[in-house]
Amino acid sequence: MNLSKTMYPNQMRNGKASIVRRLPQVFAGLATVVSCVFASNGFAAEAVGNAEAAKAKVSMCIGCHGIPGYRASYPEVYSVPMIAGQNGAYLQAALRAYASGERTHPTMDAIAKSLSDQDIADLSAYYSKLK
Amino acid sequence: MKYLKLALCGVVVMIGSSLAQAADLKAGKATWEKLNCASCHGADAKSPIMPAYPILAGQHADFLAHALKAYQRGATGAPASANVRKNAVMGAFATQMSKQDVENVSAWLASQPGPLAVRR
Repeated sequence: MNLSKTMYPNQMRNGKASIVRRLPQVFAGLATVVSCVFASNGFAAEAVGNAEAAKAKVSMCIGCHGIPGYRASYPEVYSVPMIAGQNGAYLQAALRAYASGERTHPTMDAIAKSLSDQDIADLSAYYSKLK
Repeated sequence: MKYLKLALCGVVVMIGSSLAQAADLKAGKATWEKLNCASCHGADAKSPIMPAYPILAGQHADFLAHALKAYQRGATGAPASANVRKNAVMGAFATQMSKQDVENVSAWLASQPGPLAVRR
C-alpha cells in the first residue's frame, strides 16, 4: 500500500502538483546540503570579525595597549606595541602565534589561549579599524 | 668665562648627540635596504605585500628592537620562557643583524610616518 497516494490524492492526478507539493522537502534537502558545504568550509575559512562585538572583549587589551607610554618589563623593558591601525590579519596571526607557542610572552600567551577564534577575529577587526 | 666654556661644551655635546642620532637613522635605513625588508613589509614599511605581515612604520622603536631580539632568541634555540618568536623568515633575517643593526633599524622604522596609534 502506498501511503503517499492515500495521503495526497492530488499527486495521482497531476505529476506537476506532486512536485509542487514536495517543494518544501526539496528545499529542505537543498538547504541541508548547502549548509553542510558551508559548515565544512567554515573550518578552513577564518571567522568573520565583528568590530562591534569586540567592544565587550577589549577589557583584557586596554590595560596595556590603551595606555600611552605603557611598558612591559619581561624579559626586557620595552613599550608595548601600538595595535590600533595595525593590519587585522597580522593581529590575528600574532594572537594565534601566542596561543600556539610560536611566540612566547607570559601575559600574551595566557590571554591568547583564553580567546576563541571568533574573539580573535572580532578583536582584530576592532583594532585594525581603530585609527 | 668659566660659564661660557661650560655653555660651549653643552652646545658641542648637543650637536654631537644629534649627529650621532642622525647617523643611527641613516645606518638603520641602510640595514633596511641591505636586508631588503621592503620586499615583504613594503617600501614605506606600512604597505606589506600580505595583510598577515605587520605595519612597522611609526611603531615604538624599543618594541621593534624587542621583537627582533625575540626572533634571534627563537632562531637560536632559546627556551620558550625566554620570550621567543619562532619564524623561519624573520629568524633568518634577525640572526644576520648585530645588536647595533637592531637598534638602528628600529629607530629608523619608528621615525617613519605610519597609521599606528595608542587607542582603545
